[in-house]
Amino acid sequence: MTTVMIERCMTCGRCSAACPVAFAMDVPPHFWAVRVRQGEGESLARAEAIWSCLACFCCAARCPRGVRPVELAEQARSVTLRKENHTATFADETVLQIISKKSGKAIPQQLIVAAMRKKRA
Amino acid sequence: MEFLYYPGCTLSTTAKILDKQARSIAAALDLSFTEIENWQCCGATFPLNADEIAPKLAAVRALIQARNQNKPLVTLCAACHHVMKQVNHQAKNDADFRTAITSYDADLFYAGEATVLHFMEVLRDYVGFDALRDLLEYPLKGRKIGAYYGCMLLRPSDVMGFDDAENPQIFEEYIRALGAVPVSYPMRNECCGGYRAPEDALGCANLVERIAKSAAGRGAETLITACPLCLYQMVEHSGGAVDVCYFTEILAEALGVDDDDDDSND
Ligand code: SF4
Ligand code: SF4
Repeated sequence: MTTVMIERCMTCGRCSAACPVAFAMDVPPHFWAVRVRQGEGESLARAEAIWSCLACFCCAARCPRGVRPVELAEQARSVTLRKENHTATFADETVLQIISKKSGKAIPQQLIVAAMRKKRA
Repeated sequence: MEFLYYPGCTLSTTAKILDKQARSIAAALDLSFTEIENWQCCGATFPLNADEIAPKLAAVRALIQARNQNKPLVTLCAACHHVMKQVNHQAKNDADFRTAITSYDADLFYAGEATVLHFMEVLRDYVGFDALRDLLEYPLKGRKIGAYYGCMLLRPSDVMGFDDAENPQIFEEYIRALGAVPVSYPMRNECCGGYRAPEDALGCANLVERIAKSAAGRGAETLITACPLCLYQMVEHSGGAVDVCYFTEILAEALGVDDDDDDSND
């Protein structure tokens, strides 16, 4: 079940035109609502695209039909994380990866917290 | 005018300069800022799943303090601001969410009564950009400054209510009030890619580099931002096409409250 109004999507592609990373996605945002509507949510949950989403809300801002693809990406990530039940190690690894990165400038806390949140169910 | 100030985790650690500049500016402008008691990290992202309640409780607790003390809650970090606004909006409009938060703790009855303001909105609506102009010791004459809004202050615009998400003007008006020339460029409301930085620094580098080049191409010498993550991304990955600083830095300088003992952005 999703709170996104998937039935309203008309596959116009405006979300993907606005999305700064759609060009690199295996399944760009204008397919997401359709996938779920057609009962293929599982294939969306397996797509790499849901992890590339930046949560920038551009797709939702430009959609003429009030669909919010950005929410479908988060819901699909949660489906995967909850099913595989690897929340803790996944989150820990991400944070370790960030902290251990040799960087010229201290990584903002905001990013560490967001990375943990992204990989928690 | 009295405000409750929510600094958040980044302003207490890697973005101390933003906190310091804001406090100096508030003092110079006679704004009374009281740091909110026992604040907890806002979580940096607003969970979009309807069944995630616990990650929003820290924001609810801060908002309840603001309501009970009848003072607007002021934020600086774009992420804190985003989360506070989103949670406040949900508490006001979603009865199921209100019920869910009280099931964690009966004292958390909250229906979105607090006012959440970004520091920039305090400057515009409580001080006024015209009044601000008259207070400057050192107007930034001739400087070419671009606004880098990013995502979180603007979208979703019906919730954030910060400015027109497609053609925002508030930062440009602020830059003009400080005596500088605002440089408009097409990518000022684009995402820095920060959410994906841990996994794909290179892909994100591309995004900020395009934004920085877009600004430099229109003649911007400096970009201002309210977001520590945007600033980090720009400094790390934009290839130095343009200087970046917090929006408070140029006001601190123009007011002459920039005490310069630490001009790094850490
Ligand atoms: S912009 Fe909206 S209606 Fe158009 S494809 Fe994207 S989600 Fe569907
Ligand atoms: S929120 Fe995700 S899907 Fe939507 S435009 Fe941004 S990166 Fe693309």
